[in-house]
This record gives sequence, structure tokens and C-alpha cells, in this order.
Amino acid sequence: MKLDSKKKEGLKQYRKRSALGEIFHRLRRNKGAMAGACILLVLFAVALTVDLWLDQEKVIGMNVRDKLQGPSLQHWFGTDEMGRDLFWRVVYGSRFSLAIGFVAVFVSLIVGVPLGAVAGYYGKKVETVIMRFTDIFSAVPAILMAVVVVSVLGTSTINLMIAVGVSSIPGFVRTTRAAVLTVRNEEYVEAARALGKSDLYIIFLHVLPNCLSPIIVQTTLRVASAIVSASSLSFLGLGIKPPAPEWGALLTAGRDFILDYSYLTFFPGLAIMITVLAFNLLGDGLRDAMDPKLKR
Amino acid sequence: MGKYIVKRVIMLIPVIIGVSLLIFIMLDLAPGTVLDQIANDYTPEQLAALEHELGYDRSVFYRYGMYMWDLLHGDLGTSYIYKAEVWDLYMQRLPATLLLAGASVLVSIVLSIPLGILAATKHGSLTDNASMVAALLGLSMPNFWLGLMLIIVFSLNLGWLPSSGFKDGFRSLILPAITIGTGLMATLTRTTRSSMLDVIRSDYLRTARAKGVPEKTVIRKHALKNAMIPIITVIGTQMGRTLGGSVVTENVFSWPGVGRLTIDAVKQRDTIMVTGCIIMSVIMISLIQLLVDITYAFVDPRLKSQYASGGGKRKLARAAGGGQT
Amino acid sequence: MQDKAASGTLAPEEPVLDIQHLTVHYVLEEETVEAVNDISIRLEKGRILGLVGETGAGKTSTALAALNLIPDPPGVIRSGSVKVCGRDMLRMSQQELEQIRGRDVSMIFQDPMTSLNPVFTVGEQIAESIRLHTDCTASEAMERAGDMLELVGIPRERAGEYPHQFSGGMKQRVVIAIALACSPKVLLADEPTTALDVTIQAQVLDMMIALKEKLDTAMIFITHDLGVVAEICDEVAVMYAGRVIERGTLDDVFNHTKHPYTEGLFNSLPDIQDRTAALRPIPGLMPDPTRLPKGCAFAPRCPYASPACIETVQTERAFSETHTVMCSAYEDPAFHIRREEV
Repeated sequence: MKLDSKKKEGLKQYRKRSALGEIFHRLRRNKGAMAGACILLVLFAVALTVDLWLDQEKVIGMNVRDKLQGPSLQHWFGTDEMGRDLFWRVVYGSRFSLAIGFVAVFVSLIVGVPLGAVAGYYGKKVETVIMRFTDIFSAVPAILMAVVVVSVLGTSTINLMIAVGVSSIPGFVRTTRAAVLTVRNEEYVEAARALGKSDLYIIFLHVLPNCLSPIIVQTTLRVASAIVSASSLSFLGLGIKPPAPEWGALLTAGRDFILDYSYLTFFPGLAIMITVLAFNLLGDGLRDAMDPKLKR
Repeated sequence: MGKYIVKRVIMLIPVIIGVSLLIFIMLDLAPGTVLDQIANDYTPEQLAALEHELGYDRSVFYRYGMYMWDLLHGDLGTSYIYKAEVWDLYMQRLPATLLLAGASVLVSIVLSIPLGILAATKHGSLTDNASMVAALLGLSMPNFWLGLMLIIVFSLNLGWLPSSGFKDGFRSLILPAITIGTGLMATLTRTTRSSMLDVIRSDYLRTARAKGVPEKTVIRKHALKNAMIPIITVIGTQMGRTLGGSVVTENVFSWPGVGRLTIDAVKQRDTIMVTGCIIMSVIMISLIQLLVDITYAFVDPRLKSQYASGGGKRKLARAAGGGQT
Repeated sequence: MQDKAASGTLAPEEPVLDIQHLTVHYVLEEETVEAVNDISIRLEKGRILGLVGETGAGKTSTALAALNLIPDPPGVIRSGSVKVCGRDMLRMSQQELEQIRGRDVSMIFQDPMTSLNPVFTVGEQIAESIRLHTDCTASEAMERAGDMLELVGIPRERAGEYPHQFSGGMKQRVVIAIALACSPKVLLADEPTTALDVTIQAQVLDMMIALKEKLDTAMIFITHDLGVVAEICDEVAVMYAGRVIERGTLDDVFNHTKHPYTEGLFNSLPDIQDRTAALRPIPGLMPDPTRLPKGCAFAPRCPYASPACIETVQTERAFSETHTVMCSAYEDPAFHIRREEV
């Protein structure tokens, strides 16, 4: 039967968008998520290229004559007790915070996702063991766990990343397991099994690719909380120490001057807040875009 | 019900064993022991004797065995930094922590539930988006920063409220409670909103409207009670988490709570103290969880009959609402 | 059936429910569902109108619009009026609406499993309506809720139980008790028996007729079960793609069928005399309600359709004082459907 033009048009309409396109389309309609994405783009651009265009002198150069100047046209965020320009220090600090956020989440991803996938895929005893261990692990409050890890490994940037990463492993195990459980018995998995593929092959090529959306959402949101955790540790004196221009450290250094020079704590915190908000907005937007249940 | 409580207590035992073993081993891997911290107070002979007494001349498992043996007898051990019973030290700090946790969760409830309901009833509107951004803003502010900003405004500049300590009673509670409560807001608002959204288009609300029930009553009575299970779950989780110690906020406001006690103990390698605190917070968290489970029964009659028949209520609670991780 | 139909003459009194030119659309992100298109229904006191049609014909939307309960968004009432006892539900303040709903007009919903609030006792749910609309104390309301339960055949002691403790049929009775609690003048019953098994179906139907006789309630009975219609209705309106395409007394529609679609409905019923006869379903599907043709929406499936049908805007054509049909084929005076031949 020949399709008349009207029917063809109808078909085209239904096929117009792929699943990915549909997610992207929904994401683009979410103003918050788009705002978050724009902020993050700028932040990434700055963090990746800051070495190329920012004179180091501006970040670490001391100028005691100009110390503790309030925000002005010349020094947007004012200057600290050594006369360093806070704006450039915050700009430079974006590298630390973003790097810590991503590396930390990468650590929990590479541990948490395989564990969750194995637990969800095999079920039974394997699952019980992994999940009970996860329960035990998450019974310790995350910040305490991070503090313990830092005190085991010693204070350094890398260790801070690991500590924050380790403390958010349980979240990834749970998310991945839950997602795997929903696809474990799908027919394409059964089919792969029937073809005699190895379990590892099935988990990585069939199961996990179909569990991506919750993991992506979790990753985005976790980067946000990792940045907060890392700066909290810096604040507790267990993370990056001043004078490194990491935001948490900048803020902690400013705490000594809180009475008279409150801008020293205000601006670094504002930077953290905006970055974290951007990740949260994007993560929330992704969740809504990927969850067809919310499509209304 | 009694059987259920017993079951929950039994389930707690492996978690306590696991958590304490984990902490014991991890802290043992860290450089230094509690003895280094107190070395100055003792003669070398005393120190050697103490090292033997505490088991530092043997393996970590031996010390863990010692600890568990005491724990089995209901003894949480002795902190050698404070030279006092861990139980006493913990109980000294608990009231402040309980107070702060309760007040924070209360702040969060008072702000989040109306906001979540508003967002859900105006789903998709500007109000909805604004509420959700406001809630996210709360989540995105680092606690220590918000705390410091509140201190700057309300203590240093306006002089309305004290900036630290515990002495001014209710007045000293306000700022820390707002600090933590704001952080909890995002999750609770989101849960309230999504839970209400699930309910708001349900057939039984349509039935209520068709009866002529005023819209306000439809939302506050008919919808809210049905949306309560996930909301209570989140409140319970948050209560538990704050009870475990809000380390950062306690630090900002010099609040004499459990969180700071634990962190200080970690820094001083006081393994016994750390383990004791964490075990106590695990117990507190599951107490809260138990309380939450009991509350479910009052909210949802379907769960009540499940309790009566002794079925698996966690499974059911999850089916009826499901918590957020 | 014959007797019942014969008694169906219209009394010339003011209708308790008067729907005029009602149009309801659901505006979605990328398309608009034209659920109800310019329909008019009048109903006198104590009469039962059967609203018949396939799933998606717009029956439930019509009933919801009569209570001004169309979910908005996405629902939009584009035009029309719905007068209950002379007052227009669509031009009323929220407060006035709340007073009328449940008191003058109420609705029995389709799915008893989801229509009751799981966290309140059935007694509370019935009593709530009574308390809202009559001047009585809480205990009096509970007392009357008990009476209502007995009326629908549930022992009053069960008022303190929760919906999950009831079976499906019992829940449907509770839903009916809620709807009838304040003796409304108009009752909209949306497939009240579809979710029930056949034996309970009969019980519920008998009960509803008894209640109608007792309370003199006018009723719109939404169903796709023609047997039920024949059993309890005085009048019938057949809906297709959001339009009433044929309406009249039970006798008009059942014995003097005019519209090809109505004919198709009857033909697709199994023949009880000839059990081996194959069913004759109407070929094709209802048109996509987001893209309705300008003319007759049934034309693509209609055995009598001419190319003009799809283009011609359909108008109502009266065959008697009570019987109207929306089919342009009758412009040819010689046109008749096969059912009329016998």
C-alpha cells in the first residue's frame, strides 16, 4: 500500500527525535539546567586555560601596601592580608575546586559502579555481601569517613580527593545496583547470555550502557557535593592549606579577619556556591530530562 | 510490633561489628597512636605499661578483640586523652547534639513542606521553578560559609544573636539550626514536591473535589496525608544524619556537640573514642529509623495492618512511597 | 425493553442538567486533543440518560466538565455552558462550585480501586460530604454515613474500616454511597459497573435503579455496554470522537436506529440466537483526536460514506421531537441504513 503524503508526515513526526535527542530537547527547555550548563562552560573554560592568560604574579604576588583593601574597581573582590588580589585568586582557584570535584567523583565511580553492577547482576550471595558492606560503610557519616581517610593517608591534595571520593562510594553502589536490577532480566540480556557471552562482556556492553542515565545524574550531583565536602575538609584544616588559592582554603584564611574584612570570606564562598548550584541545576535538569515518568 | 523491634535490634549487631572493625583498622593504618598524644604525661615506664595494657604491643585484631569483649559487657571503653569513660563523654555532648539536630530538622520542615506543596500545586509555573531554585540554593551553600555569613550579619553587625557557644539557650540555637536546616531543605522540598505531584492527580483527590471539599482541604488533608510516607522517610534520614554530628557547623559555632568530639578524637588517634562515638551514632540512627517505621503505621493504615500481620514492612514502606538516597 | 422505551416521553419541565455547546480540549506540548466538540445534553428530573461510545469518545470528559473538574492544565473548556438546576457550573466562583459539587451534582468514578482515599476510613469519607453540605455535627454525619452504607448494602459497623479492607465491588458501593450521600439532583455515573464482575454488576445496577426511584435523581449513565443501557436508561446519547452523533429515547435509538455508527455498535454485539455467527466489528479505529477531520469523523469507517462526508460539516437533523442524528447522508431523502430494512 502506498503511503499518502499525510501519513508519511505523521510517521516523520514520530521518528523525528532519537532517545538522546529527546533528552537533549527536554533539557534545553529547562531554563535552570541551561543556566547551570552555561555557568559550568565558563568555569571549565577558565579553569582549563587560566595558566595561559593569567599572570602568576597576580595570584601570588604580594603587595603589602595594598593589603586588606575592600572591593573596588581595581580589586573587584578586594585584597587579602598580604595585598594579593582576591578576585584573581578566586579565578585561579577554580582549577582546584573543579579538579577535586571531578577526581573525587572519578574515584567513587571506578569503585562504586563495578561493585553495584556486580551486585545487581549476580544477585544472591554476591549481592548480599556487597550491599551489607555498603551498609556498614555508609553507617559512618560521610564527612567523618573522609576525615578518617585523610588522617590515614595524610593531608595533601590527592589524598583529599581520594578521601572525598571514598566517602561517596556507597551512593554509586546503590544507584548502579538499582539501575542494573531493572535491566537484568531484559530480553537483550537474556539473548546475550544465550549466545554464550561472558558475564563481564554482558555487564559492560549490555547492562551498564542501559543504566547510564541514573549514573550520569548521580555523577553530576556528586561532583557538586564533592566540591562542598572538599572545601569543608579544607575548612576543618584537613584539606588544602592556605596559601594555596583553593576556595575552601581562601575562605578559611579569611575567617581570621571576619570581624572587619568579611568580604574575604564572602567571595570564595560565593564562588563555591555558584559552582555547586550550577552542578545541582544541571544534575536536576538531567534527572528530569532522563526520567520519562516526569514527562508531563 | 515487639517481634519487629527485636528483629531490628538483631540486625544492628553485624553493622556495629562491621563499622567498629572498619574504623579500628583504618585508624590503625594512620601514622601515630593515642600514646604519642599523651606521652608527655607519663614516665617511659608507665608508658610502656600503658602500651601493654592498651594492647599496642600486639596486633590490631588483638586490640579489637579487647574492645569487643568490653563492648559485650556494655562498656564502651575509656578515652586516654580525656581520661574518662567514652559513654560519659558522649552523654555529656549528646543533649547539645540532640537539640541542634531537632531544631535543624524543624527549620527544614517548616520551610520545606509548605514550599514543596506550593511548588507541586503550581506545577510548572514560575512559583514552582523559583521554589525549586531556592531549595537548591540552600543545598549549594556550604554550611560553614552560610554559618559565617549569618554570624557576620546577625552577630557582628546587628548584634542580635550570639555567634558561638551553647550558653544563651534558645538564642544561641537559632543561627546553627538555620545553617543546618537550610542545607537539609533542598532534599525535603524536592521530596515533598514530587510526592505531592504523585498524589495530586490521583483519582481519590478528584473524588474529594467532586464531593465539594474546598481546595485547601483537598491539599492539606487528603493529599498531604497520602504524600507523607516519603516525606517522613527523608525527615528520619536527615535527623539521623544530623545526630551523627554536624561537624562543620559545630565547628563554626563552637557548638559542644558529638561531631566535634569525634573529629577531635580522630585527630588525636583516640581509636576507642572514635569507635565509641560512631557506634553510638549508628545506634541513634537506627533508633530514629525505628521511630520512622512506627510513624508510618499511623500515617498509612495499609502499613498498620502489615505490621499486625508481621510482614516485611520495609519492603512495603518502600512500595508505598520509597525514600531518596 | 419495549415497554420501557414506550414510557420514554419527554416531560416539558425545566431540565436539572442542561449542557449547551460544550467543547473541551486538552492542550499538550505539541498537539491538542479535541476530546469534546460542541455537545449539548438536557436531562430532566428522575430520568436516566445512557451516554454510550467507545473508549476515548469523550464521555468521561463530558461528565467531568459537568462538575467543572476538567484537570487544568492540560484541559481547557473552550466554550459552552453547563447548567445544574439553572446555574452555570462553568461561570461560578470556586466557592460556589464547592457548594454545588456533592450537594446538587455528584459523580461516581470509573475505577473504585483508586477513587477512595486510602488513608481515611470509608465512614469518614462519606461523612465528609455530609458535613460539608448539611448543618450537622460530626457524630450525626457519621450516623448518616452509616445509613448510607446500609443503603448500598454494607453493614454500618464497617464504617471504621479503610478502603484496602474492602473488595472491589464493596469499594464501588462505597463510591456510590459517597456520591449519593447528600441526595444530589444530578448523578454522573462513569462506568460504575465496568470494573466489577458480572454478578456484582447486576447487584449494583439494581441498587442504582432503586436509589434513583427513592431519591428521584437524574442520572447520566456512562457505559459502552448496550445491554446495561437497555436495562436502565430512559434516553440514550451516542458519542463518537467528541460529538453526540445520535440521541433520542431508548426506543428511538434502539428500535429506530438512524446513524451508521450506532448501527455498527449493534451489529458488533454477539447474536444470542445464532451463536456460531461471526462477530461483525466496525472496521478501523477511532480517528486521532488531535487531528479530527472537518466533516464526519466516522466517515473513514462508514460503509455508506461518500467522499463528501469527510468535507461536509455535520449538523443535527431531527427525525422526531426526541430523536436527532448527525449524519449528512440523510440529505438524500431516500437514504436509509440496512438495520431499517428489517
